[in-house]
Amino acid sequence: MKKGKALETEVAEHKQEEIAFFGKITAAATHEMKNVLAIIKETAGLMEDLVILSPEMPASLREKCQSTLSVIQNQIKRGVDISDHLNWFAHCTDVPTASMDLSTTAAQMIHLAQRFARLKGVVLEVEPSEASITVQVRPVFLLMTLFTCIRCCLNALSPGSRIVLAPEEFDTGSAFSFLLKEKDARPDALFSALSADAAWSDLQQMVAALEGAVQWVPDGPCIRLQLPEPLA
Amino acid sequence: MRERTLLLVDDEVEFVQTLAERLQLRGFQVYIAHDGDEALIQLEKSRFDMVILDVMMPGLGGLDVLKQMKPIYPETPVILLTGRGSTNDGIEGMRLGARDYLMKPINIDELIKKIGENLNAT
Repeated sequence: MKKGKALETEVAEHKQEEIAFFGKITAAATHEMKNVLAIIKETAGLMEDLVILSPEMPASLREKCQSTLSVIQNQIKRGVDISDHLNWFAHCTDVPTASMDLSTTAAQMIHLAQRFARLKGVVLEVEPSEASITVQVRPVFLLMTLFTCIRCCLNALSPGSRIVLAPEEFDTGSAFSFLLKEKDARPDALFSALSADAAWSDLQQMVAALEGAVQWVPDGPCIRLQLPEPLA
Repeated sequence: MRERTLLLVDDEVEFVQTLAERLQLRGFQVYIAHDGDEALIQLEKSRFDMVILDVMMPGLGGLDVLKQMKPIYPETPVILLTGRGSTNDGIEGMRLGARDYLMKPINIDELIKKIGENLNAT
């Protein structure tokens, strides 16, 4: 019977295999979705060509066709964006650890969490760093940590607020800052709401597992997730 | 002026047929192949002004077709169609001799622009 470390390693390996399997299937499905969207796009495009080539078509009907086709094209663009972000997310499971660019990660995370923010009436934004900042991390775990932090913020903020996710680099390492912009908010009241949320303690543990730390900065106010040192 | 001939290669039947029709409306003579083997047979039979080649196909993929056709038809320009987020395939294809690549779903105006640029360059 396996004991202790050997069992732990085996469980971790199985977990990684499960995550990678989920990612592989999801990535393949996003490619298929893009093929479907490509066919719809070309078909709508062909209809648009035919409308243009039909001078006998009444103007009102032509206008209606063109506006309908434009709705289809906009939704295709939306579908392609969603597929692209989901594809990026799925490929994060390819390897257990990877070097990740913080601005790219922040931008992708903002898109992936957009629906959750929209349901709470909160706007999610990203402020990319000027220089590239990279860290060697477990990609899925980093994304889970960012998502947990977004979840804490969404639970604490009122509708109409904004969260600005900004990667930053310090002498001591790199960080993700979550700037919280709420009208008439008092930082101490905001921190009380945040720390009372069940997800707040999950966040502390997750950041610790990344060998980082969670810091509340009343001047801002913002939550700063300190990460391991950036790669040289 | 003679119509320029394009060989369009993609395993997605509806995609390739619709795109062919749109290119025909823009004055090109378009031939279709649904896989890599069919593309190589068509290349053996006729001369094309350009090949537009999907990278991801079952069996002989676009990059395999490119590798096989380049030594035989080095002058025929090739534009690759890749999935989004697959820029590596496009870059690899250009290393193998493709003139350019586009990501699917494509923008017809962008495709026409790239066809024009590469036909003029030959």
